[in-house]
Amino acid sequence: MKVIVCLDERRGMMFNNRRQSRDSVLIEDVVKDLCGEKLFISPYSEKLFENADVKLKVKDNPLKAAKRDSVCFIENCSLADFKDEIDEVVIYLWNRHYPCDFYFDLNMEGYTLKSVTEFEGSSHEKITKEVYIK
Amino acid sequence: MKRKLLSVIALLLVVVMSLTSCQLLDSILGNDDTPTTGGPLNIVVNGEKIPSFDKKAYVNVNGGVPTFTEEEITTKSYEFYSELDSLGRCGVTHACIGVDLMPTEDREEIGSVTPSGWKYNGKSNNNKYDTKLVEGGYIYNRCHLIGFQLAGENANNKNLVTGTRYLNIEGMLPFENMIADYVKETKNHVMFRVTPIYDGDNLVPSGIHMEGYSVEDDGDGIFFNVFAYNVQPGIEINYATGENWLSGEAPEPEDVTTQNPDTITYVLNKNSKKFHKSGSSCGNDIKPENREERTCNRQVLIDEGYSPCGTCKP
Repeated sequence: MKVIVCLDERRGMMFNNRRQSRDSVLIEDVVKDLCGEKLFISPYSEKLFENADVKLKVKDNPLKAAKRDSVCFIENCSLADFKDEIDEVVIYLWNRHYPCDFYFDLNMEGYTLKSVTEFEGSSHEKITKEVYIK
Repeated sequence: MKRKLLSVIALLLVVVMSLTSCQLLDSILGNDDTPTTGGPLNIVVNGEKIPSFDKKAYVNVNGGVPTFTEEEITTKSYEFYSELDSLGRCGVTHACIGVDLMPTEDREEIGSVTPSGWKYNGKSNNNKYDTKLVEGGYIYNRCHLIGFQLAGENANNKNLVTGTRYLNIEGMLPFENMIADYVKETKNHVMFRVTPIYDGDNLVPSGIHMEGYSVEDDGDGIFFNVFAYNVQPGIEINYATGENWLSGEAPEPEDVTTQNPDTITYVLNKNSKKFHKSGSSCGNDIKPENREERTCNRQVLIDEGYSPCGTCKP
């Protein structure tokens, strides 16, 4: 399974039940990488993709619903219990410090950094994209 | 026996009724934290008691729900700053943040502003510490209430308070970043209210109360109500004056022996030829006709035949 997450400088994901940030260029990048594959998301993430040309599978917990070769975009779910199933992690770093009360909890031991790229977002000066594989 | 029991109950009732001060109650319950040293205590925001600082830069207020009224919410950008109070302290600031309010030029110098508590008795309180303890070394920042990246305010003395580096970077900046990036991305507006919270006449705020609410999506993007602590871990602050020191290394209180010996006031008993400390109970008990107050060196009194009281030991 491949998971995609967005993190701030403190590995944070959410604050007060809301995403820390959003960027339309980042969403375009996610969609581009899918190459037509379905994307598993939670109902909370649906709005981010409302104008995107993408096939969505909306599930309360996309990690539970996804299959071995699925791609999941995760904002508000714990990942720690799914380490065995997750063989690729794409981390988009905002390079900003935001408020946070929900953190990325996947232990990255056993994953190898495959690539690092940077791009300018629509509202973020620099977004870093890191891809890790098992 | 019954009468004795009733007397005890009555006495207990009197004691409980006399404990009208929360501070006194706290002292009995073991929560008597001095408000002017260490972390800020006795913090109350909109009637809600805020817990003492516990390694988290901010905590939710009102369950994280902001309290803007329908009348306050608008999609027209504006900014408001309170006049300074009689102690020179900032008050509530609020704004409707839109892209049109955001700065288009770099930030200018703000060092000309001296917020309350920045100096005390003519001496700067902005002490330098080990950079392992304080990022950059200096404990204080001139903290913008409405962040520069949101409204472009530079040296506005109604928008700058004495805040620790920790408050600025860990407590306030994350919320400013979140609002700024949301507004840039969506072009929506965010209601933002920032209130410095002072305990009594303290010159340095205990912390900052911040509320945010994104207007066009009814709080779907930005929605918070928090209190950020004005603390610097490892350092204690006297919030009344702004003075600060390494934890556990509080300066000794000024002792009589360190005072100018010629400016100490004594109370004399002209009858017994004893002299007492001003304000002591033995000095206060002297009959008016025998009593005299004198500000002088104690040796002068001894030379005149007076001897120091053995009880108050002046």
